[in-house]
Amino acid sequence: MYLEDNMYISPRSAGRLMLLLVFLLFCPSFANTAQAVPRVQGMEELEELREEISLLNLLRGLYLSEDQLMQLCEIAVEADNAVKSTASPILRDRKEIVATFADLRNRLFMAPGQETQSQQKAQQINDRLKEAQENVREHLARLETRMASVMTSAQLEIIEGFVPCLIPPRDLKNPVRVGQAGAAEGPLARMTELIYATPEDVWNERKMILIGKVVQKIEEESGKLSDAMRNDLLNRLSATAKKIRTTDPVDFALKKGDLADELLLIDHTRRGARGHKALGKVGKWFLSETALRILPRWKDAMAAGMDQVTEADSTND
Amino acid sequence: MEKTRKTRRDFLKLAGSLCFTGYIGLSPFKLFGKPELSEVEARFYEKIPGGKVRCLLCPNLCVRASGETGQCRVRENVNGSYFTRVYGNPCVIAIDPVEKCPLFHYQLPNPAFSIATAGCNLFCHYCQNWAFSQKGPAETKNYSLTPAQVIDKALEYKSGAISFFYTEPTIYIEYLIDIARMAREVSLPCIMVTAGFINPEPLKELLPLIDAFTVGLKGFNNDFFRKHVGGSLEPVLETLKLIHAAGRHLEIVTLLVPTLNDQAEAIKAEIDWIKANLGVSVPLHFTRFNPQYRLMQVPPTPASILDKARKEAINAGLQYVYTGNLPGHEGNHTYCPKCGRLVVERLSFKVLNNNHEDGKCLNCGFRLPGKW
Repeated sequence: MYLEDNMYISPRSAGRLMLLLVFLLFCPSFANTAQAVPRVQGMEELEELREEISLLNLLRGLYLSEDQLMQLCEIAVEADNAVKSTASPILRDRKEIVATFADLRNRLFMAPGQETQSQQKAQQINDRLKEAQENVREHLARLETRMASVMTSAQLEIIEGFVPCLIPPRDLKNPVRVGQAGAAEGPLARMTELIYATPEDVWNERKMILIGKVVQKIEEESGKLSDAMRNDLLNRLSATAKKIRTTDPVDFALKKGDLADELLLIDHTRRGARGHKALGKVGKWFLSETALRILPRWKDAMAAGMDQVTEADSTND
Repeated sequence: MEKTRKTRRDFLKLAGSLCFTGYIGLSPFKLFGKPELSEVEARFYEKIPGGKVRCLLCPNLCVRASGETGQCRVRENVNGSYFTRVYGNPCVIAIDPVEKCPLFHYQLPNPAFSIATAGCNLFCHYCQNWAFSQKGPAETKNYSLTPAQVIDKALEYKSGAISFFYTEPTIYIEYLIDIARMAREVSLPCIMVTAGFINPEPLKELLPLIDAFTVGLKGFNNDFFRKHVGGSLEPVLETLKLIHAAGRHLEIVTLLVPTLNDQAEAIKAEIDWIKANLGVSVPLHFTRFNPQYRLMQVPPTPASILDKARKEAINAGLQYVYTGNLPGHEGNHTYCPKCGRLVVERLSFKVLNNNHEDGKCLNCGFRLPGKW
């Protein structure tokens, strides 16, 4: 690929450049691109692999039909084309764009007042990038709607509940089965059982240690709490634990799940507000470059009979 | 400090007393009492000479001397009389959707109050509930719930039905019948999930009391039954015919275990038998095996095997064929046999969309069998 007469870029580098621009397109505008945490350079490949593994785990739990896979592949290609066609004029002007922004940066090292012209020029380019970004988002949102219509509500619900993972969660890999007593029990359910079954003397002696561990886990996940917040959480967890322990055995068996949910102390039904044009999970998973790489390979693997399992699953439940 | 250590003399005294009381006809249960185990006399048995009993409940027809329990582990000969040890003592109680039974053509407004006791009259090597189905009631943690209390709890939790589930309900038939009779009085439907390994006489008594049956037709291969299930195929087929003839709601579930009961000819034979004896509208579920209990070395069933079995049944003319334990699979849903439209969309045991009105397809008006 030739950018200028004397400047050759290998197809591999062009691909990377394209990726970078696509990334820029998907990122919020330059006004808010400041990263809170520095990115580790040289680990992009690992990130790509993580994403591919997650997508494959999701695909394993979706049971897409051949026809669905074909349609999804077509839409993913269309999405890629849309991104590329929007990116190509930006790619053409890349040198100018970079030069303008570099100029603004350099002028900010100088005495105030010298940057005005550069600011205006950079702002114009930034507006152009934002507009391109909006256009791509709108296009992708339409494609996402089309993609969602290819899938069943059940598959959409699985995608909605799916979180990126190296090892799929138990209920995706090994769902609660027909006729099986007891639902899938996670750590919360086990904690609830433990709170319920601990003998009174042991409980009195060690309850704060046990509850403290729950709080510690919450802090690991969501960051350090202030002393006041930690105490409040400890008090609320103690109250919930008391409620669990005073439940009648039959009632405990019948509402163990609800009691476990109460330990979370959050309202499940509340969901974060969504941006108007932000892509949903279907788009995020299936309109990505990863999907473009993985879906055709998955289709071929399915056609070759990849689900013929040859080894016993080690799941022991 | 109180002295608790037993001497050899104390031990011999205790052992001697036990032998003596056993000899004169008192069971240890009578002597010490076992408040957690019931002592309700069983039904469906006959006394035979020598203080023995012959159980007539299931085709195992166990003959047991005093002090012995049946193959089910829950019925015990005490001095020539047969007692059930699980009356009022379920070891599992839960609120579960009927789709888990699986019952896909029997929609209820609320999940069912489901119970099970310890024990089973079969020994399926792949049992996922083996931790209590392959144990006696003395080995499980049991609840104490009289039939009236079961009904009260079911009503308190606004259950849509009472479901006898997880282990084989046949083995606690006395408890089941009493609960089902009381459920009738408060208009609560009753569901029985069974392997169908029961004799015709007790089954006939159950038929008017049970509204919906899910029968696990474990395979269509007597060799598989003998080696891995513990019963035989013929009595199960008789059960299916009796339930169908009685007009009760019936769904069949077959768990396909790779290499053991998933042979194409066995699946075809099952499909042909259902079509010839029960008709094409009986829902059939092919479910996925996951390594369990004594079959940990066998791989999970590939989705393609279940898919193939489902397609074969549909091609043979069966109208409602499902794949289970594969959430998201197209075989989870109900399709209208007339227009092919999706009528009930599910994700595992959850109904996501109902495109019918009282069982009538919204597109073509075809009436689907079942309770909607």
